[in-house]
Amino acid sequence: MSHNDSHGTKPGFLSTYLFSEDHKIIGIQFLFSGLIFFAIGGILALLVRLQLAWPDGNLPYIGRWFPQSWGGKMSPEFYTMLFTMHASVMIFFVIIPWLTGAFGNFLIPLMIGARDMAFPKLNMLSYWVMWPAFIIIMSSFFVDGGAASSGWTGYPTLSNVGAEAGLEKSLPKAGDPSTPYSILKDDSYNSPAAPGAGMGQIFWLVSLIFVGIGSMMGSVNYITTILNMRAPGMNLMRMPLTVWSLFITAILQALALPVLTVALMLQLLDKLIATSFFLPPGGLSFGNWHTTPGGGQPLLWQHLFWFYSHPAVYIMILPAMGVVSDIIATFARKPMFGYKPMVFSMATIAGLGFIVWGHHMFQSGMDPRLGTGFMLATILIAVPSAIKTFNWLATLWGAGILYSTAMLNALAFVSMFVIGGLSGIFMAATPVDVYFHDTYFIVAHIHYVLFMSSIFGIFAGITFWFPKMFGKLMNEPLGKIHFALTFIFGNLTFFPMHILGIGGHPRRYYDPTIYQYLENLQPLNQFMTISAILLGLTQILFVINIFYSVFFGPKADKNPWNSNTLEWDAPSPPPHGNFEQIPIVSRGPYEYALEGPSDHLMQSATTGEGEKTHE
Amino acid sequence: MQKCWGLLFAAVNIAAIALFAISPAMGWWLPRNIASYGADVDHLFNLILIATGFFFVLTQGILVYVMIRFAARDGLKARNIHGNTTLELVWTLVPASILIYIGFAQIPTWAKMKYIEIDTLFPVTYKGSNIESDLHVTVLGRQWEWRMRYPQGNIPAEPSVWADSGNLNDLHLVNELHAWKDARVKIHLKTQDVIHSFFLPNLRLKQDALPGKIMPMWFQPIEANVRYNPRTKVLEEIGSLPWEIACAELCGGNHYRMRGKLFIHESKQDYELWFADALKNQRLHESPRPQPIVAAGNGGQP
Ligand code: HEM
Ligand SMILES: [Cu+2]
Ligand SMILES: [Cu+2]
Repeated sequence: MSHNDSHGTKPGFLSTYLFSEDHKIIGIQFLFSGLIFFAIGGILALLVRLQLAWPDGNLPYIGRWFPQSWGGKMSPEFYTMLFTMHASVMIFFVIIPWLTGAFGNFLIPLMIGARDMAFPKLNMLSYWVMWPAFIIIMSSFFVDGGAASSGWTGYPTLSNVGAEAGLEKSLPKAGDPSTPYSILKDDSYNSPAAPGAGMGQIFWLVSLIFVGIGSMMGSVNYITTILNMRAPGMNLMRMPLTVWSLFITAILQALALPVLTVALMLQLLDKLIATSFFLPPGGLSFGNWHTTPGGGQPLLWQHLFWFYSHPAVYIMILPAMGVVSDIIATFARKPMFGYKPMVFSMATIAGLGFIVWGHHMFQSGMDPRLGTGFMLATILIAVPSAIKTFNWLATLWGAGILYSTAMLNALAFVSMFVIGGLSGIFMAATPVDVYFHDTYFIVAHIHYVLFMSSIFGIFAGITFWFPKMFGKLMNEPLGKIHFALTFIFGNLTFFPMHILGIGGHPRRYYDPTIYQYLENLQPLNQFMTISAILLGLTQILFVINIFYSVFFGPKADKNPWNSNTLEWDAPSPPPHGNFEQIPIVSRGPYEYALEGPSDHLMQSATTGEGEKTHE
Repeated sequence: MQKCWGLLFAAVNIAAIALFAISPAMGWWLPRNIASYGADVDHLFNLILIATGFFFVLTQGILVYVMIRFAARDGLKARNIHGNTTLELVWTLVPASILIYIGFAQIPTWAKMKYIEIDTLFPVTYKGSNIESDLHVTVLGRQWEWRMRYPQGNIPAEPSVWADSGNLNDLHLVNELHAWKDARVKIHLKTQDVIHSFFLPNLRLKQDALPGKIMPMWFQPIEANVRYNPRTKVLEEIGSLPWEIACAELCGGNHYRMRGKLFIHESKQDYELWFADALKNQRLHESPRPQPIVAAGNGGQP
């Protein structure tokens, strides 16, 4: 990584690369820690898939890692830990940090023509509070009882009951697996509900609270920076869609995150000091164990959790939509079709996103009359999604498409997002969701929006801005091979999940084969596992490409893609302070397909030659 | 070479459609419907499948077309177009009206499944446990089984009081749900520990059991799968596949093991013959497994 400092005294290595307040370095730090967690989350996913494909088999090789008492097999409890941690890692440590942390930090100041974020120190902190979260979540596998196992949704009362919660103290239940290498052994935190619902759940809660604090600091920074630090001439309606998407995301996050933080803290209190926010008045009995009567409501958690987590799913895709829009315009060599509708539709998605959380709770015991309202709001959210899709298609219509790796990934985003959005409608329809809720249909939906859309958007963004980040170009042929294989294996892995869902295959099952009605779906499960392994192996190409290109890639000049936005005006990589001179913006970001020697005009270009401005 | 990318996208999409097309024939589809409202649910599923299928083909088709048609080559000039208000209106209003239609089409079936009485659309009346039924059963979820309790005479005097208390004169079974064809069955769903979800794929029905509450469910099977033989005292299966019960909400390590069976008797008489013998058997051989009181009398209201 070559990073020249053109400004003032040369800071030491630590403050340049480690405790840096430079938004670009912080963005790159988020990028690399995300990469590590992407690998961890991927391995967890493959273990889940192995179990699903061969539920009764002893696992070759990896069976040895499991404690003796499990007999070379994965235990059902361990399986629940795997999918819980897979989802938690992917959502909170990969996708959100990549989209808001890496892209948000790296791109916002560069794209609006600022020298840095509004609050550089806060920005640095927003990365460094991730580290307690990283350490806590990873060590939770080794605590007594094992990692959290209540799903990424952490529903009480599976998650919140601890020995402290009024339980008569008693010996651990026979047959509970406990990790042989446990740290922090304290029986008083064991949960009768599940081994992972003891110390593991506490670690999970604390870790997510740290993530939330970091995201909050990031959001405050992004909002302030975008509102106050735009270069002269960069009025709001000239901002690239990437910046718009990050802005809307930051607002969403700032409004929704406090609710999650509160919910996590309430659950933590339930676990640590035996409050009963989520424990019902009658108390619970686990076998012969009884809790004291509570006074709370398990459903309260679901409302709080989804009030955050539904907006959060948009946090996990809006930035990718922005990134993809900019990449599509650049490589289509054509102005973005319907810039304003694109902005408004993102704002509508964000707004509606706050009144649809109940669609996760149609079967939860919420009053069914509310279901109808939530259904109609949810179905309406598909409208702005459709608007975006059609605008992307219209941008491509009449274009001259250049198939770079970044563009291919962006096009895959469009194609795959359609599938994810359409499957959402099945589950938004209340009577149909009665059947589909908590089946593999949802797992298919999640992976089409989060893996096949958001991750393709992220791949596109990393490839696109790599030259700006590192001053080197990524290897195009390798990138294309990685893209094609990911596209093929990704679909082979996730598409059949729809069929499994239609067959009624519940999610989070350790062994579906004990059900007769699921028997003939098992070949599909095996097929998906094989595809998933290939999909996982394919990602090695991406990692190789990144590291190879950082060191040996050909040098990139300022604007390798002939794009228009301000970051392409700064040197590659930009020095501390980004711009030699703050650019003056005289037009929107999508002036492509122009007559003249060059088919495009940068936002900061001063010539008015052949210029048609659209505001 | 440039065109290959469009073809790759086309191939993947065609494969996706092909998978949907062959799945029913492979038996990878909705399990057999046996609920009175199941046909409505399946109809709505098909309606959404057609609507989404149309937009799937439309958007993917356009995408593949533009990827091939507008791949950069000599002589192709990108057009300088920034937008078109008419088009924006079309692709806002057309999907919106289709979606709103789909949304409103769901309401009657949802009401039917959830005891919502709708004479006019609003205001809606929530009938809760007062709906007429022919058979009441309480189902208690616990780690990791379903405990069913059947009253003598099929309908208890005060259903909500009965559902909330234990009664040793009831018939207690584990993981077996019995009813008869055409009976309107009312389930009082409870849990004593964590959230479970009572999932009956063939009845297109699912409901979470919420700690501290008694959740109402109802269904009416339109097909039978067993006949009781009073002489041999065995249940003879008359269907092909057994109908199963599953748990659909993560409830701990053995979540997947909460498998139950659904027995729909040919007739009320058949059910009652079986019930009498089963109850006699329980008195002779087993001590019933009492259900703890889990809700302080919320009367079946959620
Ligand atoms: C067209 C727009 C969409 C609609 C109509 C829609 C609808 C739904 C519905 C109704 C559910 C709940 C299903 C159930 O639990 O029974 C759901 C689940 C989910 N959706 Fe969407 N969705 C849409 C877009 C998205 C997007 C863009 C994302 C993320 C980027 C997303 C992520 C998720 C996730 C993660 C879940 C599962 C949560 C869980 O239970 O673990 N959805 N969606
Ligand atoms: Cu949602
Ligand atoms: Cu369960």
